[in-house]
Amino acid sequence: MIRLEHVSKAYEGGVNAVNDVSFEVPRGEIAILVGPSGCGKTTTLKMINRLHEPASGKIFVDDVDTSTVDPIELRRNIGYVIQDVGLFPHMTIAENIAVVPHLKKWDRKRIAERVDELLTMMGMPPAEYRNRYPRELSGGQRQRIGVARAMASDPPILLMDEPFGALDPITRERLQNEFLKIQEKLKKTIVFVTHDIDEAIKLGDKVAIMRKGRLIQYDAPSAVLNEPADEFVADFVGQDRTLKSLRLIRTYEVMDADPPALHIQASAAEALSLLSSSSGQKYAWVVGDARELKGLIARKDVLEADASGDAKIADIVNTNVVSVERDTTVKDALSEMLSYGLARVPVVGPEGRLEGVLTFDSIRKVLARIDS
Amino acid sequence: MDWGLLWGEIQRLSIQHMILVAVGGGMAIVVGVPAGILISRPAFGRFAQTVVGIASVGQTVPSLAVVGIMMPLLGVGFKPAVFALFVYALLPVVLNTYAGIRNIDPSIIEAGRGMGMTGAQILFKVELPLAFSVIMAGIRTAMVICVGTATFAHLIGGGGLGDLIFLGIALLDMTTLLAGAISAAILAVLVDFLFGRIVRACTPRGIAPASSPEAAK
Ligand SMILES: Nc1ncnc2c1ncn2[C@@H]1O[C@H](COP(=O)(O)OP(=O)(O)OP(=O)(O)O)[C@@H](O)[C@H]1O
Ligand SMILES: [Mg+2]
Repeated sequence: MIRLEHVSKAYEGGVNAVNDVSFEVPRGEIAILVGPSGCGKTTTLKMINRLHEPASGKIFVDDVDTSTVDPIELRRNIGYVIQDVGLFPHMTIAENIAVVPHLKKWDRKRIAERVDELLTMMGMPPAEYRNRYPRELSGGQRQRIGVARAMASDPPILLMDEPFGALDPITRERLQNEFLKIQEKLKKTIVFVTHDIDEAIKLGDKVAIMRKGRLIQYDAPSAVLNEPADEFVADFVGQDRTLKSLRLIRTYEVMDADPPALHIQASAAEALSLLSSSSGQKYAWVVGDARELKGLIARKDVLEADASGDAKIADIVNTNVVSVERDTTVKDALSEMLSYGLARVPVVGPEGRLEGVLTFDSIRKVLARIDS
Repeated sequence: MDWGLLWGEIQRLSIQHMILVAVGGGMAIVVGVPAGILISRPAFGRFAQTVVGIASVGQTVPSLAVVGIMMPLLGVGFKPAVFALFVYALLPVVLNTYAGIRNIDPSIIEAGRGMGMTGAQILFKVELPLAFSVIMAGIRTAMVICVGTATFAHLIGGGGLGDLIFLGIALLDMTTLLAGAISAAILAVLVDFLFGRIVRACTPRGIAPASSPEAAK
């Protein structure tokens, strides 16, 4: 848990970088600090791990006043991803990740295992990347190592300053999704800085909107979208609020669950009975033993094949289907559907198991609900 | 010309010359690196700028003048000569150490602080390794300058290859003069080469120049 109470900070030269900011991040939640450049996000973050000392106000981590704790000890237990990544150029990737475990005097074996585990988690095969130097990585890979380094000693708290800044939209989207998946498992308490309101809404349990050193609104993303505190927030959130709301909803929340499915070993006759004209079904999903999605079959294909004798589904199934994962945001799923020109996509869970179908119709219903 | 005698002198004076350089330059390293580190600490703030300013001016004083100043102050012989070399070599060492540390990207230092490294850990594990090649460049310059400046040690009775050179000049004996001058030149090249090797061997791949196309620009 992190709590700021009336925290202020002015730099030499008189800028009131942070002005009477208070908020609380419950354990296991993500709070996103968002606002225009220079509004005091980084300064706020750095006060939490005492890289800056507040001029006034108090900061508590797990109900302990941080000003009473040795800053070195405090920082070793708070993962920190800095805005400019700041990897050590003279150390290999493995050495960079190992900095805090090393400071904490973990033994070699444990450190090596942890490094490999984190590299794997970041989607960077350890054998390939362990011994490279930062300059031998792409910008996006460096940012991932910055995140891995912050998580190395498994601190309960993470401070992340624009960890996905300066990335192309596709890579950023992917890292965001990976980040949410990892957070689902690890349940860290996170303060995350961005100037991208879309990122804030997608990732935050709470969003803190700052302006000129002041905290204007601290609320759940949906509340920020639907009840902006003032003109500034409304402007900052933007006009396409309804569309943005689709980022808050996961596909599994709106899909039609348990769609009819055929086993891949089924016969054409079984397929036809499912797809009989009376049922109105023109398509059926084809699954394997564990209900893992294998493909799609259309009534007319079955009819054609059946005319030529006792066909198996396995022979005529169309395996070339686009699917989305259950916790994809509806917005991402929708853009997938639009780009492939699909009226429906199957939704899959772990191990590719078919869990439901997302249709335009279900999205339309959600939009209607948001707008009302 | 007694070649055997000349060769013996070249050897003796070269060794004397190198001792002058090693002691004077060595002291400059031992004092200069810590001094450079000290003034690079944030606590020194503006004071460091003053020191750097004075040191930069000091560096423009001709080496012969430095040797000359030593004589009335410290008299003649080996010690004043060494001291003159020390003073002259100190400046590049201090300046490069300071510049090498201060030019490190501040976000790298901040990352270290943010991860809970102590000041000493940041100094030894981050700042010094990153500033290493700049510091070594200062030391290399200092040592090469020392080899040249040490030829003036003769003027205050410090010995070294200057003895041959100035003897050659006094006697209008080209052979003796060249023997001293060429030996000093060879020593300078050797010292330069040696330090170049050390730097290359000790610089980690991650910051070594020209090992990747990106670093070459
Ligand atoms: N070390 C410093 N000395 C003086 N002023 C500073 C310092 N650091 C930041 N500031 C000022 O404090 C204000 C807040 O800076 P801060 O870095 O917290 O902004 P930010 O919200 O993180 O911006 P960005 O999105 O650009 O990173 C700015 O006006 C900035 O110019
Ligand atoms: Mg910032």
